[in-house]
Amino acid sequence: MQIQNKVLFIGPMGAGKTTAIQTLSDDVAASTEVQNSNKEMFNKETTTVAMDYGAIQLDDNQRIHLYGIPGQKHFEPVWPVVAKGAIGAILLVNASQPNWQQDTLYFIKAFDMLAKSNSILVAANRITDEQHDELAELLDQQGYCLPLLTTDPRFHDELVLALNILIANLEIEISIDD
Amino acid sequence: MALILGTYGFSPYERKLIQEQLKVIDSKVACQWMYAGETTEAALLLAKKPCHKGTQAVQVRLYKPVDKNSESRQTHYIDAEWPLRIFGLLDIVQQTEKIINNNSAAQSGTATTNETAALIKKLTALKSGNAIYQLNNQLLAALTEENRRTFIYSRLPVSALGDALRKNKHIEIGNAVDNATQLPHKYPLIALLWDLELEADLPASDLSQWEQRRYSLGQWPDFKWLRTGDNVLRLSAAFTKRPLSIQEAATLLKIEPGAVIRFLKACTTVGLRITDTRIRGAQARLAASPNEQQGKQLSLLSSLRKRLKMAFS
Repeated sequence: MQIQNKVLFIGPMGAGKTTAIQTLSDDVAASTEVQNSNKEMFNKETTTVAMDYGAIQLDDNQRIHLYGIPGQKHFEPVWPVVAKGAIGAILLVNASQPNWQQDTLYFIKAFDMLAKSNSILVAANRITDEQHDELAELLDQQGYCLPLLTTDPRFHDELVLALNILIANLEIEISIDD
Repeated sequence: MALILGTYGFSPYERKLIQEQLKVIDSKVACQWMYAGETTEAALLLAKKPCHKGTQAVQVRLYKPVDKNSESRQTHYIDAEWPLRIFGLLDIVQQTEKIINNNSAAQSGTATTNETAALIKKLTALKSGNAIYQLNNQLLAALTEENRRTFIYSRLPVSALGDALRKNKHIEIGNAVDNATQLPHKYPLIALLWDLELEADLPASDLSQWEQRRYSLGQWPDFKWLRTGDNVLRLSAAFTKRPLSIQEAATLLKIEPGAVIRFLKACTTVGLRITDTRIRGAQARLAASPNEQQGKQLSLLSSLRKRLKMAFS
């Protein structure tokens, strides 16, 4: 068994992955932001082309690594490599984007191994109460039993709750002998 | 009443001894005691503690927090001879039962088990346009319906409203006043019901009613509104992963069976999908003790949780 010491931040471009890592990271998070050449897809100035990285330093010289995958789908072949050894993944969803429902399902399917062990947490932002209920129903219809939070990636407290859920999930996974 | 006994700092041999001794004294004590092994979350915690004479002391701790917003707990210490002999353990268990009984009596100012159940039933039946008043006609909360969900407007945050309702035995239901939606706190009714269920005392009959079946959760609780905590998160993870009986979940999480039942009752009250099946097969296989790698993983997770609590609280 490989020690799981990283947390993934997954989701489409513009979902808030880079911001979430910067919010949680102890050091200045490493980012690979460049000028966004695909403003039709999402109108923001910069986007991540390789990987975002941050870390949470623990007391005993151990670190929890925070990886943000590049959200564009043409980077999909590298996703399983990054997913190895992950405590879990926080799927960031920006409900103000078009096709946010399809994107959510796309990323859950792309990280199927994590979804099977309930190790994906859906953290939605810019979401109305109606959209929140719609998303819960959508996950339910697709047979996914995943935690769903409303999370602003700029706020520590909401991300800490997300991390605590992933911790609880892995603790139980280890304690139940399959 | 079912209660958990835990140990801290005991060797595997000493743990086995405690377990055997507990079986022997079972008929001589009033409550149903279950041994949870090494844990810090138990009604009665036996912890070895060096004393000035070189002997050991046993610490007895009540599980129920004095104030749910703080980590403070009612703690009683009882010195005992070490090694702990069977009559010594019997004495400690009986003293603990006495402390727990006295504590329950001291809390007679708050709602009883049945009163809390009746309160929850009353609140569940509330509709949009209703309001809750105290005896002096002071508005506690008003209800409205928005997006097919019943919301509460109140002067009080959800936990304080729960406390106020538990303490006020005479609340009146009336019509909401026009400006009720200007009250500062707004949350769905389920958030209040969830809080009340998690804090409610359980009648002894509840344990037998729940213990013959395995339960699984079809959805995670909506933590946008519902109060969390380590046990709530781990209970949610456990019951969404596989069907578990009350006892299996209590053993897995090293908590009292009552806490598991309270959680499942809260899930039922807020409308989460729970399926249950009669226990047929053998007990769900719980990892006996983690291997070295698993131990390292659990330790890493524990460090991370501690770090998150310290840095971001």
